[in-house]
Amino acid sequence: MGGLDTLKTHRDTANLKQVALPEVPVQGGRWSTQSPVSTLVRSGASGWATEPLLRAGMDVRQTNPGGSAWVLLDGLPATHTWIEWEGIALHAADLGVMDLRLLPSVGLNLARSADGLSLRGPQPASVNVEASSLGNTAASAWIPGASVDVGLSLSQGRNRYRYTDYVGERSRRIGAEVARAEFRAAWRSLNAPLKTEGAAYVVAMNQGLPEATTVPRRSGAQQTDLRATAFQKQLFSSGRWQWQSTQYLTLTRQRYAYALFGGIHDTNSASAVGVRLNSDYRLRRARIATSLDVDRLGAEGPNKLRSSVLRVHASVRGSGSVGDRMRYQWGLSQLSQGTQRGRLLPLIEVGSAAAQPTQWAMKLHAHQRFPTLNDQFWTPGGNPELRAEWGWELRGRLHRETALAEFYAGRLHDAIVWMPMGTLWTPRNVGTLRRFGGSIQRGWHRGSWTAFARASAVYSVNESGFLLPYAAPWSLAASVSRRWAKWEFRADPRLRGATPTAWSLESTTWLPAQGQLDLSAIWRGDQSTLALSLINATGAPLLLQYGFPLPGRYLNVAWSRSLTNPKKTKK
Amino acid sequence: MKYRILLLAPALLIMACDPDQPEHHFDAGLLVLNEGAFMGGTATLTHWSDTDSVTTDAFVRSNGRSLGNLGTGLAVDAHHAYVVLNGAASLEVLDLPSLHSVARITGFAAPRQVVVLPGGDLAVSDWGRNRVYRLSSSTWAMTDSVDLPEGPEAMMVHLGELWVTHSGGLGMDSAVSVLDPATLDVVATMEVGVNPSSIAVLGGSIYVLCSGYTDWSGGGADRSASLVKIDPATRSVTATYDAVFPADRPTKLATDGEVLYWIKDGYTGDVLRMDPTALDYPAYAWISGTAYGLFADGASNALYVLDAKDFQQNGEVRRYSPGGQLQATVPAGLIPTAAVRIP
Repeated sequence: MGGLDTLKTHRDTANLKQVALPEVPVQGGRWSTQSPVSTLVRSGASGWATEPLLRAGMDVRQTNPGGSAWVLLDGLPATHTWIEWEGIALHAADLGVMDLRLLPSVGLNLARSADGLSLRGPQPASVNVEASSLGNTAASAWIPGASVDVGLSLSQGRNRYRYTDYVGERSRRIGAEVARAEFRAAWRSLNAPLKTEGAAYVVAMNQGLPEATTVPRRSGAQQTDLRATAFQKQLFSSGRWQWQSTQYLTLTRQRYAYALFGGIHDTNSASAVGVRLNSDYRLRRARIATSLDVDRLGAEGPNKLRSSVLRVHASVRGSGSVGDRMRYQWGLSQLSQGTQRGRLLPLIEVGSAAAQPTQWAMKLHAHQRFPTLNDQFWTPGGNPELRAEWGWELRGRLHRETALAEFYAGRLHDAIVWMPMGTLWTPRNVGTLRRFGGSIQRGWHRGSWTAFARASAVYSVNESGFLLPYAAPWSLAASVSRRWAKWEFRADPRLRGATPTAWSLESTTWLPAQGQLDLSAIWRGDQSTLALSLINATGAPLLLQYGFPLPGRYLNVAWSRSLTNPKKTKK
Repeated sequence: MKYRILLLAPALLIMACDPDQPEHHFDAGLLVLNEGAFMGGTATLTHWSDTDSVTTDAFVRSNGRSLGNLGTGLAVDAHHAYVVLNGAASLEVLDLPSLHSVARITGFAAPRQVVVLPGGDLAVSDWGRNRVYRLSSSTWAMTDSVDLPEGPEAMMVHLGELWVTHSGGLGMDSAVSVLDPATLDVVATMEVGVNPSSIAVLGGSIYVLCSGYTDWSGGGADRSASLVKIDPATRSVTATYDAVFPADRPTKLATDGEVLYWIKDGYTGDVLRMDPTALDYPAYAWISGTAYGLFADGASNALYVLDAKDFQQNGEVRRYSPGGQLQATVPAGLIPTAAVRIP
């Protein structure tokens, strides 16, 4: 089961792999500034679990445990959530929304920072097994080596749970079975001054798409996903100058089958292939970095002819310090897609130097997102004339010991919205999104007691005053634990405000306010950890998507064994 | 004051204990069916009384639960209102005037519309099985059914016969069937325009609005829309009015007994009006703006326009005079699609 280690974030990340170059200066049109990690979520045996993401204040949309999940961050639509892995911003070229369940997970942590989400390693070598009273089981192994790492994760979920349908009848969930397999490998070699490394992963997932509770109880559609990404990068270092080249390839395929109404079957595929050139020059206390990315995105399916588009990113960025107390960062970037040239995207950030006990930072930057291939080429309705969405964001951060406060404000212009035009639904640049929000969090540690609390709020509205769908206006999360010998007992309560699922005040489109309490008992041996968790201990009704209730109370058991010899690692 | 409360208490108790006492009373007025959100959402009913009070979630108030997914059909008789839920694959039978659910009929695949047959039984069209069902008004059980061509959609009873349009479902068809409501035997089939989606009777003639077809594959198989006039006595097409704009996909034909109204194009569009003496398909909008559903009131000749707006926020209902002047606007639920007048 995934865990959330917010308090230890900075200590943990200190052990993470140090990245020599600013890997992805502009992720999907948003500046990435190597911001400190505020929350670190560990992957579980079955991949990324939903509970730790919700506790970390993220907005998740999901119909059943283990099924496809989409994340919204900071009051922006899910299409703006790009997830960085090994310097590559993972996304879906066709849909634009990245399914969290198709990301690599084994041996990785999901880091949340002011820049967004990134997948980071390495976790130590381990074997993990997990089972729940829903009939879900999973096993994973991660074996890092000197020059090659390999990991495997296998899981299946039956998702047997009861729910109440719209006429008040209790039923047992059907059609929500999930099976997932993941293989991940990484490799590296060093022939000074040239360092070469690469990684690859493939995820195959088959899932039932359960029917809503407002339709008859029956099996719904079946969806099969295959996603593979591989990259190779070469890093050359010579004194003050560093140079890096990265080549990557992503292939995705999704099959959809619905047996009803004579049968609906289609298969969509997408691809992305890219080359990235980075350089970094260090001069005393300053540093200047350039980046050029060239990506070819492609998509094909029954509702679109084979389509592709060339995307080019170019950026320059500088950073340095003023005295011993302050640092600064600036940048200028431009993206283009097809024949459309994007706006110049400036960045300016000032903050305290790393050694200061109280850390602060202020960042102002512009961002941009180009339409997806579905937006442009879907038949019927695709609109090749769409402009890129663009906006700006001001973000502030204050951090001292275990206390952290963040706020942000921004606007998004030319937001792409699918809407009817006569008989046709088509995307148009019509929306403007105004947003501000923030979060505060603090941890306490006294004797054998540890506690943590987080409060998040976001106000993200369009020009008509409607709140962004699936972004909870507020959420509260806490964690209290006590250690006793090798045992730790933990309670994780959280609350989430009523949440719209459409641009609407209509009550039938809002998820109700909801609360959840998870209880855990964790035993830690020298090399093994056993966690017993009662998820949703109060059996509260939970929904992350309208019409799709999540399970009531259920038991989860997770066992993990480290494959690293503790005697060897002890100093 | 104390004594008045004491005197009232037994009466309130009796009312509270009377199972036949309706908790809510929805006076004469307009009953609007709102489709609700497509994925996982639920349909709702809006009641607009003749005294101008509006109840936006009338079904929930009377029943304490939701209607179910995707409302598409609505009909009334003297005692009941009938609501077709396409996604929930069910038919709700509601008592009038309480709107209390007295029956929930399931077993359909993808029902679309409902009509009251002579004698009180019901007919329900079902896209999922290309079938029309007859339901008993005494037991609410399915008593008969008939398999028909692609996409049975709109239905109408005229001179003791059941007329059914075949809108092609997700494909193409161009037939209208005439059934004997007692036996559901097909007594006649007529060829009309492409994808007949709605039907109305005016001045002794039957009018069928054919929506046309768009070939999204780009294969060039587009077919224009048309309005077809049928003589019910001879069951022959007496006139065809081709749509002025070939790309228009008109829907929701309605009549107040004087003129015909329909929506110019698909999901949202202007309202067109045609006098039965006109010689041509109307080229200009009678009412400009977005309409998703129509109800023409035969008693007042008022036209009610159901506006779904952007399909995400609440819609609204606008009442227009026979001359096309806006008289009143009230809020509706999510995606108002059909309306009827309850007595």
